[in-house]
Amino acid sequence: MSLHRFLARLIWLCVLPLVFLAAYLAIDSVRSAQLQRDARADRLARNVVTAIDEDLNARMAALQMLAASPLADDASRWEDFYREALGFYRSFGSHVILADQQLQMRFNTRNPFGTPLPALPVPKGRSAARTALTTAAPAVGDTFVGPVARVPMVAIAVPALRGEQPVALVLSVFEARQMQERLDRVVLPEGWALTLRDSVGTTIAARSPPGFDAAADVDPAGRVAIASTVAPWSLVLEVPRAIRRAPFVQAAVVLALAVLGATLASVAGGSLAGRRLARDIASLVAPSARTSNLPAIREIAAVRALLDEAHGRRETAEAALRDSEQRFRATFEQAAVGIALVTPQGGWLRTNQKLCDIVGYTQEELAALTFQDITHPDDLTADLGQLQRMLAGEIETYSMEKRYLRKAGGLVWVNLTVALVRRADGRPDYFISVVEDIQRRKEAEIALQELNASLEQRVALRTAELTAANQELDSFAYAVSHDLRAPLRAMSGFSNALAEDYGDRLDGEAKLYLDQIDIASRKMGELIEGLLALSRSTRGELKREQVDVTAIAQATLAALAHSEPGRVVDATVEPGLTVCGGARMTEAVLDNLIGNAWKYSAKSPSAKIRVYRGELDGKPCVCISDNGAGFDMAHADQLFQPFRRLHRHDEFPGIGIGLATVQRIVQRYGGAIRAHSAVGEGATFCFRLADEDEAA
Amino acid sequence: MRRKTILLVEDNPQDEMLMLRALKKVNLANEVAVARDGQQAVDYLFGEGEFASRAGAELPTVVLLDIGLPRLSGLEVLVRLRADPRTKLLPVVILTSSDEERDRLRSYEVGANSFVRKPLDFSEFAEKVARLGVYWLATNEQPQG
Repeated sequence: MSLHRFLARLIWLCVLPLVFLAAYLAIDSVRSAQLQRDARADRLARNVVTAIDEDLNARMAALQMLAASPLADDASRWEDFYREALGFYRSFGSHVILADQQLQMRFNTRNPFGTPLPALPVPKGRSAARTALTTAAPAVGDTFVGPVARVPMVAIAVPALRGEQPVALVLSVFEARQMQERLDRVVLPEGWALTLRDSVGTTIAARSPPGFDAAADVDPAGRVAIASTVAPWSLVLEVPRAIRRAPFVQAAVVLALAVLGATLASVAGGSLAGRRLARDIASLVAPSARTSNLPAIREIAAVRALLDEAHGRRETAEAALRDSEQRFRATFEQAAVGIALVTPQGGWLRTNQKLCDIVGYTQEELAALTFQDITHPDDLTADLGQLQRMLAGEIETYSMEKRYLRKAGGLVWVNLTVALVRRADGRPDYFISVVEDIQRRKEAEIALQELNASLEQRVALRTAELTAANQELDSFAYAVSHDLRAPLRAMSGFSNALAEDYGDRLDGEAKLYLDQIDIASRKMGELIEGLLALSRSTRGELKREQVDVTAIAQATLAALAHSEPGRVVDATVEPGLTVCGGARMTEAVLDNLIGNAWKYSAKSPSAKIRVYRGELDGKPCVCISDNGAGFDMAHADQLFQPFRRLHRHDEFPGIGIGLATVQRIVQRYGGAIRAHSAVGEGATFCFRLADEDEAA
Repeated sequence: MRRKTILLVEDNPQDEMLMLRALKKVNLANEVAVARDGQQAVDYLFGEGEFASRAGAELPTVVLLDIGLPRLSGLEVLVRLRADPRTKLLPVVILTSSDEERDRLRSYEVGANSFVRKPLDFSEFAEKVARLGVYWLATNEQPQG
């Protein structure tokens, strides 16, 4: 709805209630004027009737006085009675008639006494004479034409009562003209009509404006009829329709004029105000016409000021936005990496030159493609998977290395970073993809990978060779253990059997030789055992478990003490020592080290062996020390070589394989072993198995 | 009463001699049959090949089985014996120079009743063999069937 129509409607809405109110007031005032007039008509009619009734009553009272006269009874005195009646005529101007019960006139003051007279005339309606006779009471009759005077007359009859019986009637007859004179004296508003009618409707007297037609001009509402209380007559007052309606018409015309005037004034004023308001508001709608005069309405002027301010701010903001857009465009176009805006379906919305350089397509060509079209098939699944996760809101961004298919053929490796921009309602709007060309790096990587692969292959080959060599060594050791033992057993067995079965036939020297065979075979047996132990120390599973060193050391010392009950050795083992390794391997280490301590302290006067917690390279370790023969530290480097001995066999027996075995076990576990000694001052061997901190 | 015998499976004639000597010392030499390789041992027990005449004959009370044998190895022999219902429960003692853990484990896995190492020391060896003979022939209760 335009402002103009709105204002017009507003004006009409304001004026209409006033119009209705004015109409209501006008109708109300017309109605009350009408009621007033009706009341006035009623009152007027009643007054006239009352006056008529009073006149009739006065005549009746006078007639009654006449009737009461005894002269009426005696016909001989009727002449006297006639004279009395003339007095009545003089008073009231109406003649008196005496009539008998048969309604025969006896005299009439109109005529000289003694004039023969007709019977009383009978009116069309009620007869006063008859009524008076039958009711024995005075009565007024309807109009009739007088037989003597030949003019319309009315009669009042009063019976002369003797006892209760009427003996004669005294009548007064007067012309209807007298009533007409009475009506003519009434002050009657113009146009109104007055009619006095008898009981049968005959007009006794009437007064009406010229050309008055009661049937045509008067509505029932305009007619008031008042009945006389004395005569059977009624007075009818009639107001013609035209006169009754005159106030309505008048009021309607005035009202119409007033409403028209008021409406015109309102509409004119309203449209004037409306036009001004519309002009002011129009200046708000198009504030660009800044130079035009300011709105006169204060509130609108304030709004206009606000709008102007906002307009100014918006222009500033737009300028800032243009700057920002320009900077963004420069960043976008001149970035050293490829940048693209991508639709959620994968279409390229906007791409920069760098991206085009990377993939070899122009921006127009890309616009007709999707990223799926130029992504290497092997990378597409991973890319789409990440995209779905991002659309689902699981991740904010993702990066991946992938390959694009270049337009000219061939591949280009890129590092892709994608972020999702959502609309205000949370729906995905577009992706921002940053594409970095990593082709050269990737090539280097691939070359490195290939190199690594070939290295790994070589390592695998070497390992296989080593494994084969180890297996060979293994089967060699197995063969040694199994096959070298049998001939030894035979040598030792048969030399023993010879000594047992034929000893009595052999001399001393032969027995000595046999002993040498036995000793040699035993020595060789020991060597084989040592070799096997050494070989076993580099084979088998590498277990890592908590091993109770204290318990093993104590058991080993107990076994040694048991094998040489004669020796007194002061042996102490610190409680709670543990290492992390295999139980059998730990046992082998401790057997060798404690066995050596036991062996090399054999010649000390009071042998001492100690097993305790020490420190090696800042880490906890287990140490075994003795106060035995010791060794020269200058030869310490030879200590752990197989079959290498620092003592003569006749000093301390042995085959020189124990420490080599110990070192191999320790090294296999990634641990360490070290020896400290001086000749004659005993030796200390410290070791730890695992490189990590053990609860030693 | 059933005659109690020992089947000795040994390829080394010197070990065989030494063992027979040890068994003789405890008067068990007459009860000993000798097979010199794995196949021979299987043939002997099932009465096949060169021992076809033995078909249905009584089984020995115990088998002393070396591991390193020509043709069929000791463990292969043992697997065959355990697979056959006739010899499923036959007592078998593995007697070997090896003290390798894996040999021991494998022997028990395929159903050896005992694992005995041949000592290098002559007297120890003689004593062990003699005791084995006495134990399996006199002390041990045989499974029925």
